Amino acid sequence: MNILEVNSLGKIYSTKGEVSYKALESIDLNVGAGEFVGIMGPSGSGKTTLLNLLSTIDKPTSGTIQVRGINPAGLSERKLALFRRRELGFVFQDFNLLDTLSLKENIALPLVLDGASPSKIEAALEPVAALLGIAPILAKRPYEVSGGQKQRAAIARAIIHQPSLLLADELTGNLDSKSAKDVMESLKDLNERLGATVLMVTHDPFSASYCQRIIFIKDGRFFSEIRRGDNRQAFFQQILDSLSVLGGNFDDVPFARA
Amino acid sequence: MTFRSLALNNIRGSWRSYAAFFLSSVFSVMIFYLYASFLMHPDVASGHIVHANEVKPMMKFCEYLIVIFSFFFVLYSSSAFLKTRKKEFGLLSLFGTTRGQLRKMVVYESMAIAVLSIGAGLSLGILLSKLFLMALEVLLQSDVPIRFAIPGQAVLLTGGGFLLLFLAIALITAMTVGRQQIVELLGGARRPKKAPAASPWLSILAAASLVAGYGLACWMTPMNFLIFALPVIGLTTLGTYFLYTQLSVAVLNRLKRSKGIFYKRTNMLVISQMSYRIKDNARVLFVVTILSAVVMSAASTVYVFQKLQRDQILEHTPFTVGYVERGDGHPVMDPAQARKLLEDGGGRIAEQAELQGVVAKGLTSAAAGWKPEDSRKAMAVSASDYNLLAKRAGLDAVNPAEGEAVISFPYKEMKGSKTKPNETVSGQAGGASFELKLQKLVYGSVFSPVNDATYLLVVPDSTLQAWKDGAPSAERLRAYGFELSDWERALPAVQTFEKALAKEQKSFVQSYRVESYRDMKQSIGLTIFVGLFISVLFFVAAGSLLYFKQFTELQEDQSQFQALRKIGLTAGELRRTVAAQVGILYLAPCLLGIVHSVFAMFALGTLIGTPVWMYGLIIMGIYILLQGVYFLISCTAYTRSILKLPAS
Repeated sequence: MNILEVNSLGKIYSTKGEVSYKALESIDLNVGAGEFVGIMGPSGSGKTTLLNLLSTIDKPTSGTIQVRGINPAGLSERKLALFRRRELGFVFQDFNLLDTLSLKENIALPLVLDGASPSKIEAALEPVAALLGIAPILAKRPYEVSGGQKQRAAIARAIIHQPSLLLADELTGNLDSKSAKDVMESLKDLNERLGATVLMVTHDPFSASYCQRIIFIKDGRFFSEIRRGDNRQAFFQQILDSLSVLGGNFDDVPFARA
Repeated sequence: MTFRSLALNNIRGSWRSYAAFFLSSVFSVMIFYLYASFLMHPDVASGHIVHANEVKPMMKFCEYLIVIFSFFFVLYSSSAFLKTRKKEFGLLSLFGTTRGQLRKMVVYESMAIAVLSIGAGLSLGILLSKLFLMALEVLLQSDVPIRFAIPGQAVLLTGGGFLLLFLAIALITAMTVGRQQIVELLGGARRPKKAPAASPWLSILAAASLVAGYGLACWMTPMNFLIFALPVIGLTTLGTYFLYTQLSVAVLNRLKRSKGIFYKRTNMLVISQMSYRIKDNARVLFVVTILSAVVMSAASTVYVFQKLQRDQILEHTPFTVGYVERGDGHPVMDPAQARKLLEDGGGRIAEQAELQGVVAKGLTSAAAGWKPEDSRKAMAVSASDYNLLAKRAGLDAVNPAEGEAVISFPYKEMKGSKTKPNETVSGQAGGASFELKLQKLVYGSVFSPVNDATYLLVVPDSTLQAWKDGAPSAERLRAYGFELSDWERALPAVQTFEKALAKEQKSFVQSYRVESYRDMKQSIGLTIFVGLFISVLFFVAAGSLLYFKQFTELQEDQSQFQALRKIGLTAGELRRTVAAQVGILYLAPCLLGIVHSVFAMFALGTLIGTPVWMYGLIIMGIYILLQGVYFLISCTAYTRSILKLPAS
């Protein structure tokens, strides 16, 4: 069963009296339950636009998105917010944890906002925290822990309400290579053990090598797709090869990690 | 891009944080100009407008107050602005901007805002000055209209004075720029704050001193007022300070521990952010609270005194117009003619009274302090006549027995000596000497206390009858009193009556009630009018301080709010969260200030024996209204700025 179905999605930015700009054009994408999909592309290829459309914080100009059969385009603003809260989980490059709350409270936030009972929240929190290895630091505040720990807490927040789809945006962009590895391992565990469906946008070939499938886009169009075999090292090489075929500007990517 | 345009662009870019500051500056300049334009008005300066002298000292005082207040307000705001721009200065320094250039830029910016606000304030002031003068004209009851004028001196003083003030502050604040290392500046903008903690002892101290302060205020009596006044002020001030810095945080931390409350939807966001917000703003909140309490209490006190003075005037003048006549005929005026005159002047007579008696002279009485060498005269009246009038004036009836007398003093303020038993009063009346036992002394006038009728000697009806029979006609007294309905506006009637009197007749007439009421009302009205502007200025400035603080802080949180939007915080939840946090900033000092002044008014009420706390309600209403407007503006402006920005 497909969690996410995207049909000939297009986005055109236009300002009055100026030339319109096609950011995305006829993108088709299906993500099955429990899949771990990466999206890569050079700067300006439309990755962020695609993610914004999938996050429902921007509206497509053509085509449809369906998450579990629901088309968010037809929802009112309030319903849309609730849809994001219940069906989607977000992990951001800059963590976006609230400094005023402890890690535990940050993680619990989606459930708290949804009006879950404290006991239910506790019950949901424990296994997730244990899986991500942040159980001992739950009482700390975001500024008291490392970047990797922050990102793992952010992942916990994104997953605690068991969303249909976890969307990650350059989640290792602000981390050193060791932390990046830890975070990606955690995400892989989540995907494998809990069967969470993950869609990740990234520049970083190393992070991408954890995915099962990678879709390359260029100039707003579908470019190619590769699937991972058993060997992650071989997959990493495959990604680098694809990127060199893809060309374009990857200057803003720290390649040093490979 | 020139250096100057960089400075101007800085202002344009951050106008939203400057807006409230700009507004308060404009307001200060405007009010300063309004007062100055009156003080330096050609007609006022030349003494053409006679009544102007009544307000001049107070206005001058207020002018000084505005300058002092503006100085501290602008100083505080300017340094607060600079603090929020650390990162920008760090970047500029990094690019090689010298310290001198940075300072020059700061001075440029300040002066640009200064020129703008002075210009706007002056033009608004000039625009509104006619209205201001018209209001003053009414309040001063000036016969000559105060014509519209733009006194050059006032414009120069206002413009020049404020320009100097802004320049001085710009130079002072510019000196603080560039003292820090660049790395500190760059990192300084956003350093994580420690979770606010509260000391349990200081929290208890806060609650205890507030309770004790309020308690003492309620216990206050005229006896212990002097002992209690300072502790009450000290305790409430102390309690207020620790309430914001400690108790509030302690309460919020306690709420955090209660899962049922804290883990309930947006409560988590509101409570956790609130404790930061209150702790960070504790000092501003404290100052605003205390100042609002002072302003509201002062304003309420003025109202109270107006009311008290009115009561006192009424006590001193039982009738709007009253006079006393001695001997045959009508040496002062025929009551029928008096009535006609009053009615001709537009008055409506609600009540007419007459009191008959005889002159009692050479009165001595040790109890009343009337010694033989300083003997007095009084109007002797019968107990039944007196009691009728006493009932009307709300005084107690007297009942002198045969051979006894009661002395009635006109003013309650004369109360002092007590009647000792077996005191007597002696003198001559009805052509014979008498000595009567003094039953008691009473205070408060029942009939217009004037000339022979200043003091009353109340005797049994039979005694008076005997005296009347024995008295020569020249010693018979008749007093007439006229009460007008709507006497507050009956000045023309009273004046018509007064015009018909010869000079020597006037000493037998009491008709000053309406005029002294009008004078009192006028001077209180002026006090309120002039003070109102100062109060509003203060409230506007207090609001703008909070507006600015809140705005810079919320800007820091903007990215977090946007992340929450992505996670799925609905627009309604966002609005509620922001409203709760912003609301507490504006309403907490306002409400606490009101509570403080209500207790102050309660104490004042017990002090003067009548409850007075209601009079401050008008001022409090204005204050709540202003703060509410600020709250609404900043709340919607902020919510809109989050909702409008694309989340990316």
